[in-house]
Amino acid sequence: MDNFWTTLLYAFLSMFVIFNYGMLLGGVVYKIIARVHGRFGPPVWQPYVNLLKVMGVRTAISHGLMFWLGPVFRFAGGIGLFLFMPVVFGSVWMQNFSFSGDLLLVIYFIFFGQLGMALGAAESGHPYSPMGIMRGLAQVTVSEVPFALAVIALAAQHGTLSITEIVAAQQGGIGNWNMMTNPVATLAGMMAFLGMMMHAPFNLHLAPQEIPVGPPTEYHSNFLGYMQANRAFFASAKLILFMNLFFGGATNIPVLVGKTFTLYMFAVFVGVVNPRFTLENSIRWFIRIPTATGIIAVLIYTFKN
Amino acid sequence: MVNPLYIVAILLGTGFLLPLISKAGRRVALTVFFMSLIAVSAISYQWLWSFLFDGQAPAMFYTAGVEPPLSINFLLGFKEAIFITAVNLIAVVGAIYMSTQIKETGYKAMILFLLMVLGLNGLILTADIFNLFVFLEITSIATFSLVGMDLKLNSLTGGLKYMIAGGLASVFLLLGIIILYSLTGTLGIESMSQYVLNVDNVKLLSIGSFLLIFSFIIEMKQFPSNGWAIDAYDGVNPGITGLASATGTAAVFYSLYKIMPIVSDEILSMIIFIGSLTFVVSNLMGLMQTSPRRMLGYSSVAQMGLVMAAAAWSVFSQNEGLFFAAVLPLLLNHFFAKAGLFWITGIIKKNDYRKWGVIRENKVLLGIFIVMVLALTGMPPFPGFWGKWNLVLDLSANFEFFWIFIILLGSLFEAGYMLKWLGVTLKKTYEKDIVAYDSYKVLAIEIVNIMLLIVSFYYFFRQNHTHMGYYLPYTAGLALLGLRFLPEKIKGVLSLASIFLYGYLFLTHQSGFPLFFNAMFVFGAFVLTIATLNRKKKSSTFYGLLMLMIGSLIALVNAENILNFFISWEIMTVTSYLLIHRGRDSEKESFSYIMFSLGGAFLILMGFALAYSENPQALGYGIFSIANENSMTAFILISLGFLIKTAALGVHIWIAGAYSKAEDDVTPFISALLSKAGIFGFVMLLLTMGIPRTEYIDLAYILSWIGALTALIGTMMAIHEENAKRLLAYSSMGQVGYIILALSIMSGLGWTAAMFQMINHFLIKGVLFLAIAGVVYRTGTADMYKMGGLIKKMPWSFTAVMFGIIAISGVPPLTGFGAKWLLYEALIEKGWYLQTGAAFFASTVAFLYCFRLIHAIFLGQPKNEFRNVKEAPAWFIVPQYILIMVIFLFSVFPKLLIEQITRIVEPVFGQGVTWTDGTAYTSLGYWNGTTVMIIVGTIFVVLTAGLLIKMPKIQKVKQFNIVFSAERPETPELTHFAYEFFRPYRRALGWMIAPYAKNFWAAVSEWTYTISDSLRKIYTGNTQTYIFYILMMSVVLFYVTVGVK
Repeated sequence: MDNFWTTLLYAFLSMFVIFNYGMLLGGVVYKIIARVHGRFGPPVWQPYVNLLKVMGVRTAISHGLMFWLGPVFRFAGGIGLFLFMPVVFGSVWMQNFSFSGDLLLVIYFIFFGQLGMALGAAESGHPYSPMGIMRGLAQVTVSEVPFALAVIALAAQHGTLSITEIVAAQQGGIGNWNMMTNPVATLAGMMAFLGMMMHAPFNLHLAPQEIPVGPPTEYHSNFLGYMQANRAFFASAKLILFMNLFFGGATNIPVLVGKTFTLYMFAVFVGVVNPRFTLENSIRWFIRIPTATGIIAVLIYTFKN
Repeated sequence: MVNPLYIVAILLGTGFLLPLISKAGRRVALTVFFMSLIAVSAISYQWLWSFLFDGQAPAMFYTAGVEPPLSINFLLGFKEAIFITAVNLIAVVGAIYMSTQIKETGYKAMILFLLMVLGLNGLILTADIFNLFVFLEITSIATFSLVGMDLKLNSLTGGLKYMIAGGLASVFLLLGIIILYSLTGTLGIESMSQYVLNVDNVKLLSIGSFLLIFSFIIEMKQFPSNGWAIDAYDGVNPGITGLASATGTAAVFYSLYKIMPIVSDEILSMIIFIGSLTFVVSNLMGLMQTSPRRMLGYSSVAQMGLVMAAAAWSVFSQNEGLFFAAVLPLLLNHFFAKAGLFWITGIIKKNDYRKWGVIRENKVLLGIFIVMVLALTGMPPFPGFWGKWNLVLDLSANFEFFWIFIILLGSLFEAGYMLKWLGVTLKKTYEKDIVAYDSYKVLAIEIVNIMLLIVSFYYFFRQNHTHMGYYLPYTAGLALLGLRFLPEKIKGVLSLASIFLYGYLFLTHQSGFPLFFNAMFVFGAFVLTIATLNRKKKSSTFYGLLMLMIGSLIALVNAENILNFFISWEIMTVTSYLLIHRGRDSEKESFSYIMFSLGGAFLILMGFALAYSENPQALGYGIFSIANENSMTAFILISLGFLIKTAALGVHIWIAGAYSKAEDDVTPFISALLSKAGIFGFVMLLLTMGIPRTEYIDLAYILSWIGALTALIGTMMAIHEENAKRLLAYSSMGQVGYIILALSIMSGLGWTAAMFQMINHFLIKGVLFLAIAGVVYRTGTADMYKMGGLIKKMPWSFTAVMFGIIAISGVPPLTGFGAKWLLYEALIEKGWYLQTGAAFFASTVAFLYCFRLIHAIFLGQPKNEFRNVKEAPAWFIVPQYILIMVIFLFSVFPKLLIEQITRIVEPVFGQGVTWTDGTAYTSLGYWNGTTVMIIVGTIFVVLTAGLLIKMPKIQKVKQFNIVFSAERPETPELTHFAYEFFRPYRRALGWMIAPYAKNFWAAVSEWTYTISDSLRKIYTGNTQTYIFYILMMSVVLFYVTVGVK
């Protein structure tokens, strides 16, 4: 029992930390993008302001139960993803519930939120919602392919699917990072990373913000608030995942912040200078070089063993 | 015991006296006529009885105290008794059939009939070769005259062709007899077969033997000398044709059999070759036929070829037992079924098989028709099956694998046109026509049918199996077919009760894998049958067929040896075909299904034969554990057969059509249960044989790629389907591909994954297909783009589908994730990383069609015509939620299921998954399904609560109350984004699902039909051509077999 409450408390603590980190990260990114475009940009605490505003809106429209559940699913997906991962290696209070499942659980849980969101938005009855969803789903699924291959290569390399153990194997200096010991898999993984972070050129399904369609447009008030809060969790969780897998993990919070920030900047910089792919193009792109890289990564270990 | 010479006396005497008796009136004459036939049958039957039960010994009879050939010489043994009884019984029935005609034509017809029967009996009984010739002439003359009896042009031309060919045959026969008599000095058949061994002039002997046999080849209508036969079958009165095809063939065949010991081994080989060639070629030519009589003609000729070849083989290999085990059942099968079918064509006089739907007006005839067609295609429990089975086993014990292939190929062709006929007859609309149902004809056909069933019954139970798994599972189905008059609901409840009973009876006696599968089949059948209680339309065969199919599944897992396995496999194939065929517009798809299934079944049979050849005494599964140089081929053949059943890549083209066209409450059975029969086959094969490998080829690796690619391509095809049932069909294909992939890993973890995925798929597909059935029932369509927005009106169905798709896509916390987790851990542990990648890709793509399914049907806006649909009936909802509860149970406590699976897998492969409390560990990773469920559930509840508490004023809007881009849509159709939902995917990745397999199989069938068509053109209809063929054939054959020396 004692163990259980402690774990719960720790989970809340880590959620609090990451939530704030995620929000601030979002704000910083707005600023950087703006500066690159030659603007001043909003203040770094803008995401907090957005969230408070949205949560404070007094009216909302609902299209039914599933519509309700959409954002709940999404948010649960984001939080769940975060909670099933070990955050800081060696730390007592940043392990979350990672004992529930290994890397496979984490990868599949990414879909949980997507599914719920898809259902909820489609329930709105607006025809363009499913269009946005279709694009989002199609892209995410195909970007998972090189990621899965990279993960398989890692599992083959280390002989384990436990994130904690993969991080443990990377301790002891930058030379031990999987980025160095398994560069091909890292390359494949980072290309998938671009798709997963949904910045340009892979942000077609978010493009609807320029044309008024898609889930972000259909939802309002608290619903939208859940989704915005989820951004913080989801983005941070994915960053932490990649950090753990390829870049040696983090043994304390400052290192965590540094590494994840750098990772995110990679996606942001690529996105800031690129236009948008259409869906066919992004599918074709992922199926070619990233998948080929992933296959090579896997083949190396097929023949090594 | 009555002297068989009385048969001759009675028939001849009555024939002579008939002109006199007929002066007393037609009816008196007819009575006398029948009495003589019945008397003759009684005599034959008396002899048969004494052979069977009183240990009678064969007896020889002479007339007038003089030696043949100046007198008649009869030898009456056990085989002869069987044949004359059969011939005389059919003669009586045939007379009943033609009684109207005979009455009209008068005593002349009666005399000819009696004469014909006399000739047939003589052919069978005679022990003297010259007598044989005489009786053959008698039979021929009588037959020719009977043929021309009705004075129609077709009959006369057919009869003329028959007569000319018969005359030629007689010439050859007489020449042969003369030569042989001059060499051996005797005319007795038995003594001749001994004296030929001492003859010096071998060349002359072989010429004589050749001529002798060749005449019979003509008489038995073998290819290519048989064009006249087909024309005869086509044109002549079906009463006579049926009689001739049955009795004439039997008698002529038996005489051939009697003289086979006289000829040399080379000539016997020639007979085998010609017979087998005829079997294949004739059936191939039958494929293009549209006239039922010609089809039956080709089938008759083919069957005769097979019987002749089998008999020659039994003489060649000196295996008399084979005559009773294989030749006789094949002959009897042909005997009764052909008589019956030809006689049915005498009632349904349609010349185009596509117009035969009219037979559906008469349920009795329809039933008999179905029985006889199934008997001809070699299905158990009919005698034809036993004949083929025993023949195949005997050939395999002698390593004659090529002939096994020939026999099965011919059988496949025969099944092709027979089942096409059957399929069209059962479904096609027909013009209402007045069909004259002569009650005598119908009576005759019914009698023949009963005889066929009696013989089948005899062979079925002759197998000496008292194990109740052999016959008990079929009793419920047969009973329901018999009780067809009961209301549907009662039959449904009876079905449920019998499933429950079967579960109780059989589950208590098993262990290991059979128990696991049996439990799944029984539970699944029970739950899925609940949905069938929704049926409103009365059907006399539905529940019977359904229970037969379920029974065959139970018999399959209870099978103790390969014979039982194969019988239940075939019965499962046929019953599922008939069930699928009930769907609307399903002829093409169900035909494709049965042809693929039969092809697979024959491949399995070939594989069994190969394995059996090394250990020809045993029929148990142990024959697979003996490794030899044939093992690999046997394994490949058998696994190909099972792969066809599970619709693996390359042989999958039938699945979408069959699943979508079958009735909506039948598809859950096919998808959830029947595909698992293929998996069961694989499991048993792999358990007994393992997966063979050589230095260069690792079949396990190949099998794994077949599984992985099936999963990937199946899933990719699913996302593009507009029809919900087709989508789910391809989804099934993909999911079962995972199971095959997992099985090929051959490790504890791999098999745990396979069994877990199997249960998972079974539960989920049950839910999804039932839900779709409910939706289709209410909306009347399965096209998803026509639906939409049904969530408000069908919330229960929606929820069920939602859980179903979460489970199938593998998203935690439902069971789907457990299956995927086990699978990937097993694959990575094995080192098969690329397959893991493929499986993963398939899994993510599965996500897409899952969403499409639920979105297109339930979300969005309802179309106007569906605004007022009701929720699916409770009969559909209840079983769905039973299955969902099981899914939830296994999601929250996966240990429950995995432990049961480990219990059966561990003894074979060792442990895959170890447990520490609730967490499952493998060598690579870990998973705790219970805590995942708890955590996710808690987060969910907390977030929802948060939303509820802090909710602002929510305004609920009606479904169609939407605005987008400042636009209000006018009709719901404008808002339903569902058609070609994944067009970008098709553009980018369409090359993955190019129809290679479909084109390949289309080409195969195209080529077969073309060859068939060009072959049959040799039958020009011109008698001179036919004579030319006969003479050419004699020259060629002679040169090839005898003349070379």
